[in-house]
Amino acid sequence: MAKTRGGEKRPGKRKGNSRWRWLTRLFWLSVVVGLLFLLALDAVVYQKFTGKKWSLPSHVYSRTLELYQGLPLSREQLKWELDSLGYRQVAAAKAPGQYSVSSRRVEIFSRGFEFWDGSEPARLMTLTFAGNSVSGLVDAKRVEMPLARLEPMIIGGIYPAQKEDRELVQLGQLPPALVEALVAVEDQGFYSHHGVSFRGISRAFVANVKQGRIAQGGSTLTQQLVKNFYLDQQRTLTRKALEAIMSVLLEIHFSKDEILETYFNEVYLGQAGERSIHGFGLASRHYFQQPVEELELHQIALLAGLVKGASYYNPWRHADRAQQRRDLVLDVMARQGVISTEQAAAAQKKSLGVVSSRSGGGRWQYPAYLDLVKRQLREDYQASDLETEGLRVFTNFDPQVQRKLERRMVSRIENLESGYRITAGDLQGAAVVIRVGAGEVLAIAGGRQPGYAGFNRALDARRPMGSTIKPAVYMTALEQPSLYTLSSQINDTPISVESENGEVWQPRNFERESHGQIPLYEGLGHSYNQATAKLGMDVGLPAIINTVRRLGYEGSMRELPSLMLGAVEMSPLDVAQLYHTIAANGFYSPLRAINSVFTAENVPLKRYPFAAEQRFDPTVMHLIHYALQVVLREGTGKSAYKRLPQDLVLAGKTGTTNDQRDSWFAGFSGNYLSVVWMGRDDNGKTPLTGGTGALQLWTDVMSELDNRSLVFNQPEGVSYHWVETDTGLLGRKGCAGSRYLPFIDGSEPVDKGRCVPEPLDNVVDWLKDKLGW
Amino acid sequence: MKYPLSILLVLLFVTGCAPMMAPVSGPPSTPSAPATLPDDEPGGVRGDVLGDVIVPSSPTPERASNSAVAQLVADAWEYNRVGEYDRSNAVVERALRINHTEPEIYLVMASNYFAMAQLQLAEQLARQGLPLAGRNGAVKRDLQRLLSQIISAK
Repeated sequence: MAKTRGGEKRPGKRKGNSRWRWLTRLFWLSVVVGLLFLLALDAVVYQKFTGKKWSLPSHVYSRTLELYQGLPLSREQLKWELDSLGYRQVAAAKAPGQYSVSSRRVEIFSRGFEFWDGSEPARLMTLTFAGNSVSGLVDAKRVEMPLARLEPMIIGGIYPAQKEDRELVQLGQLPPALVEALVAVEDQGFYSHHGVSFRGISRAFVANVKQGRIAQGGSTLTQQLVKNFYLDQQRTLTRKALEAIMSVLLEIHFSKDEILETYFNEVYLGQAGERSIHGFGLASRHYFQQPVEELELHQIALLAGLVKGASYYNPWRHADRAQQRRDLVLDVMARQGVISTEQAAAAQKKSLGVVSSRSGGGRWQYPAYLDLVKRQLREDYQASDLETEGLRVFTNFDPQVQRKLERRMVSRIENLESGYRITAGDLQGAAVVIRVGAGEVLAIAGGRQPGYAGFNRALDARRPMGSTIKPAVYMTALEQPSLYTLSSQINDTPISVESENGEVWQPRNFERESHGQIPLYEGLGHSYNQATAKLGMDVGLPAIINTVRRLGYEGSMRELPSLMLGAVEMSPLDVAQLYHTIAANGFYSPLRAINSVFTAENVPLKRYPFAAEQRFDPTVMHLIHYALQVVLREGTGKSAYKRLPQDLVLAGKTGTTNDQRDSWFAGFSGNYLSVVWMGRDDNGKTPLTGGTGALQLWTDVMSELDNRSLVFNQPEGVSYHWVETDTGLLGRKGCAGSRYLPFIDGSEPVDKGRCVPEPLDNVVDWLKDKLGW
Repeated sequence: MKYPLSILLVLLFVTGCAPMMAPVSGPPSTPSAPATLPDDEPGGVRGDVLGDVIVPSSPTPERASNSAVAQLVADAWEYNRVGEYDRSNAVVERALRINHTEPEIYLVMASNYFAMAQLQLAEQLARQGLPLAGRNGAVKRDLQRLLSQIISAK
């Protein structure tokens, strides 16, 4: 009850004061809460902007192309490489990222690049060609250069679940016209407002009222950045108010350039399958396969125009819309004096200039290889780091080899299906190509369909390796030179082996025939099962398993007699690891897909150097190389030489499993090793052997590569002797049945065969011949 | 009697070098393969004996024949001399990619790893280079010398 002036309570006034007091309190409380909210908001704005702004996916690069005199690379192949890297063909190369072509020359203005071992400057160079190789390399002053290299191409990335992709750029990297174009079309008052432009809002309001729909937005670039960077996409008044407050806060703390740079990296500019393309750096590569620094005016205008709606103005799906938008941007730029009307008109005459949607806008093209890269990376990095730290992963992937492999895989499988009346689509294949010596994985086909990102047969299809295991059996024997040589006589006769569980194993030769006593090298050359099984039982299963281990296989193997004929399941990559040890003269080097890893800031992080470990003696390797050459010259792989040069020294081995379910070939030249598998995913029968299936694709692929002959130097401790192949005794040059075979010193035969005459026999035979007796 | 004996000795010498058994007709040839199915697998058909078609190749030249490889090897030695062993290895691995049969590549790598006290790897690389270095030559001597140093350091 209110008191009166004389001390009595005055209820009305007291009530009014109390209300006022409460209102005042409420006001101050609101002010305090508002300030606290503002402070909290400010902290959010500040911390996110100064912290790690984005989760950056890792990007994976191909090998770098080394250019030098004698490089086996045709003019067309170089042109393909340059086009893939986004170089522009011009009349005369004058700036990085350009090249020109004449009948025998290619002039390149390369882009600079930071490699592990140093930086490669951007420079002008001219390559001349003779046939399919580089015959000369000179710099801008026509001075001969020993070598130069092009930057690697991006072949893929490793993404988090939301698959947001971007390539960070700094404001200084951007062409000034791009910055001007964006400001001109999105926020003309950017450099004068403080985050919110009331003039812009009013203008948009009037325009929208006039048109009776939302035709114009009043958001500044800062507001757009706040909306994308901090807030969700809801269109409510509360969110709009929040956006305005945060924009002002952002402008208080950070410079216009900092805000603009973040905007350039944040904005959504397109979609590539599941990947969303953010920022102008990646958008430039996505649409034009060029770094943003190299963009021309018409390209800049298109990108700036896409900010309004990357899907609506998608240049691949809606080329007309995209062109209209681009031309409008150019008009606006001209109206605002950023460019002249002549420049605008000239740019408007140009086509959109986007690359084909397959190379630019589609999925990554080499999923099988990326699969291997990811697996090898996960040995050293957490998945979360790979998906968010923006690592730059440089690999040994060779796009030229991959292209050839994929092309040949498609045509050969189709050819085999029609030739052998296999239901179209039933036959599958997988292959890997390795650089011999360096142990680098150059190309992988995970199936018959190029670019298919499903089941990777090259890595995951573990199938019985059949006779491709046989070199391990023969190497085990040849490591005991006192017992076995290439001319040792082994029995190719029926054999029965009883296993521990009582089962009897009776291997037979493919053609169901036995060949009796044969020299050891023929057992491998012709892939005789009975001879190999007998030899294997003599040397012992544990020793053979040990050999397979030393060759580089780390998986499980059961000690069963059938192991000797390939009853062990391996992937093509596993088989490649084994054969690389053979190709590298007995030195084991882990097969490497990755060359080096850099941080997002281009700081070298880790290199994956070459390493080697001697697992076999060079003398034994020389002998096995000999026997594996026999396979291709005379044995189960001889059809390869119908299409490969006779003077090219090659070695390899066919493999076929029971009921011809798997067709294998593993073989190598001096510089390339390739392993091919063919079969059916349901493990069904095929009409193919290793020779009629996998070997044919292997030959296709090898015929496309620049092979050098296998280095078959005679090592110390090995000597050659003429030997009678049917007796294993010493023979002589020119005698029928004699063969020139390598022996580990001390293991050569000492007894003379029928070919080596006693001196007196010579005289007697001569006299008989002369006298006609 | 003295004269016919001389003739007999000459004849003995001549006939001793001549083939007494039926010679292989013509030069070694690659057996022709069937036109359709290229071969049998895994058995195969025992073909002609080719004599000496498969013979050892000539030893690799002592020094790097490719100018790009030579340049890279020279650069790698420079980095080795100033103690930048990892960079030296990165450079010489580029040479390895171009031609892995150049023995000096292995000498550089082995020297780098030796300097980095990675003796096991140094030894393996030196051993890998040795068979490629031919029977003589400076690189072979250097590889052998390095290998001895590595073994004594282990």
